[in-house]
Amino acid sequence: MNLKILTKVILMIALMALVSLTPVTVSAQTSTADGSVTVTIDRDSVALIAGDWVTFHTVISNAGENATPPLVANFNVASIHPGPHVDPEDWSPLRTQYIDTIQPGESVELAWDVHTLFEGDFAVYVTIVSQEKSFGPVGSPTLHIHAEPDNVLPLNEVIPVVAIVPLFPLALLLITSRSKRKQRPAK
Amino acid sequence: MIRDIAETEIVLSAQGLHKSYKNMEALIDFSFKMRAGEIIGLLGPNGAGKTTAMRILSTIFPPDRGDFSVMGIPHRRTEEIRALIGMLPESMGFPMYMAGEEYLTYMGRLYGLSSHNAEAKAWDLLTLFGLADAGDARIATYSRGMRQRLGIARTFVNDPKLLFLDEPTLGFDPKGQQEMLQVVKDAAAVNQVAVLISSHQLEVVEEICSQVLILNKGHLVAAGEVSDIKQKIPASPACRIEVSSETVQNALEVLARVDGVEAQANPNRQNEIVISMQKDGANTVNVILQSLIQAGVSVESFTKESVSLSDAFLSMIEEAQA
Amino acid sequence: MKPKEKQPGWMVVLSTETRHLWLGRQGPLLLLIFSIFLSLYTTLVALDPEMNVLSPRSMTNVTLQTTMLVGILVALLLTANSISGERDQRSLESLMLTPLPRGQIAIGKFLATLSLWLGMIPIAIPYIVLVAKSTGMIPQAIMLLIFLGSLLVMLCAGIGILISSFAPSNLVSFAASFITILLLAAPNQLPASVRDLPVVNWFIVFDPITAIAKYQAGILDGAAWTQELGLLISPILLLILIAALGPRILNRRLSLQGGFEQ
Repeated sequence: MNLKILTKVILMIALMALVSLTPVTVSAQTSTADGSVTVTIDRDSVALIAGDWVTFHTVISNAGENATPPLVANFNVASIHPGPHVDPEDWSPLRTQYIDTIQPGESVELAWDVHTLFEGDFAVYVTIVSQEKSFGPVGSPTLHIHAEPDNVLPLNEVIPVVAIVPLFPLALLLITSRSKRKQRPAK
Repeated sequence: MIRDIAETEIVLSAQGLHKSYKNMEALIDFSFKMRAGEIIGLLGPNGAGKTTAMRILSTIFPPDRGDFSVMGIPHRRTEEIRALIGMLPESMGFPMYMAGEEYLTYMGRLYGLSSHNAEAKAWDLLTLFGLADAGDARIATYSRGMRQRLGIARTFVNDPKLLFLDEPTLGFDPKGQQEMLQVVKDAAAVNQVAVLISSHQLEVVEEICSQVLILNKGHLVAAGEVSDIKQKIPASPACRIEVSSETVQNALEVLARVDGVEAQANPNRQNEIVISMQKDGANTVNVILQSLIQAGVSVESFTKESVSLSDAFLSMIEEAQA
Repeated sequence: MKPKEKQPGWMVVLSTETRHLWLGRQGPLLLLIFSIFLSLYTTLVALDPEMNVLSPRSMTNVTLQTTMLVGILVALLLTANSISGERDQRSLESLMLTPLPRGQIAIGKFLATLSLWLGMIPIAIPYIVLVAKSTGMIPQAIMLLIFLGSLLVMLCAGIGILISSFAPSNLVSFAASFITILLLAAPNQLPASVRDLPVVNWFIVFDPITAIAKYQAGILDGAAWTQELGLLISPILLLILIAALGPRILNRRLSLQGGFEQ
């Protein structure tokens, strides 16, 4: 076998091994004029119980030769299946973060806290925009959140409580009605 | 107008009391004294300041100026004064859900009586004021007169030394009125309770009060014994006679010939003739009677009229307004 | 037999008012209505998945807030009527003629109102336990109900009594009391973006009702009890202020016709 070809194959295998061993980071290409800004997210899915909080990180990198204009990173969430309305404002305390600029070759990491308010399947993503018109929106890969329902109120537990508890004040009402001073009118 | 009373006897002493509401002066320089066992009438037309005076003296609100004391206690020591007084306001309300006995017991406890003593006191007062049978019934079922009795009973809960009664006879039938007045007289005579009564029924005031104070537009226009007040009015003396119906005309003709006498048939009362005399005295009366008897007129009754407190009151008010 | 010691005046008022509240059927009736309301609310949430969109902790928070809101409304209903009601039915003069310091009239009526809240707590606990079961925060939820709920009800009852003492009529008393509480509770209903504005945040520090709601939400979100204790400063201080100054003010200023003039 040709030594050069063998070396390239070994290098390729090594590269593939390296890639497979690194943490999952998912990239997306920019649509800037020179395609230099990329956004990665530190995970692609998470499963939790409705009501839990989860934190994820995005890294915005500038692989270009020039510094980026001021950037705006915006958090978004959508329900994958038709269902209750998802209001991003309720799901995250900080929907928007601002970056002055990213120098060539540098990156900025942003953390996002998400409060899954109810059960279902949701797509969470971050969009990067700028006031410069030439800078098109850059979207991060999607973080899929699967929130399991927490069955708060099973009917077999609810019925005894809602039926029995009112009986106590009712009994008190009947007792006090019987012991109340007699109401005969004055002669 | 403050009477000279021995200091040891004084229950209430008021000096220069003033009270005004916004731009209206309700009470101006009001001064008087009361001694133990005395019943004083407080008279005046509507808006004269009677209720204002009573509310100041019962510490419901303070005077703007002036001082008063009850049993020597200055008016700023309101809680001590309230322990010694009772008051029946003119339009007194009650917690309607309470029974009469329950209400008096509650009041007794607020005056510091124990539950047991307050309840015993309540039943004593209910009996005294004819409400024993209604003691267990809600006040909402009481008649107007019964509520008035309850209100007066409430004033006696703390065995007061000084009572303020504002229109105490409202809602009473004549019998009830007499019973109530007797209780007040007994309280004054036996327990030496001083009583200040405000009433528009001047015959009531005349009956039980030894002294009157007459207010008009906040001013004290007259003060003194009832008889003294009446004597201030120069009204012409009068008398009334009743004759048989067939002799009324004859009587009028006879009286027309008597000097110094004017006679008129009373349109409101059959067979009654009202005679006013220019000169009061036994002689004029004798002349009237002799003339009638000589003319064959049968005189069935004769009443000598004196000036009523009502006359005196109205006259003074008119004079003050003039 | 040793004679019974004279009871303080406020205790006489308290015992009479409490007796009327409970034996007069008003108290048990209000408790019954309260329990039926909670039963209906819980049943609707359990039956309708669309309504059950909140997380367990959020639902516990809402249930606690609803319970406390009803407690506030009931307290206001009673206290707004307490002094101005006597004024309307002309029975206030009778009370003012007794040697009882006027502030003690208010104290007795205030404590009688609280007795109803004490009756509402055991009624509410089963519902709170039901909702909070899956959060693992039952003890916290019950403690929030008892301590924060009592703080809130005492505060609103105190405000209600003061307003009632100076209102010329029951109508004015009710209106002023409810408007005051609505204004204090309003910031809690603002959107998050408005709530986070500095001026609103500053107001919330001094707004006892919103401060309590914020503290409660923090506890149910897992915060430690001492983490945001500063939020409770304003409600506790306000309650102390009302308790200390209220009776003194009424001793001097309670009048037959209402208002501030004697």
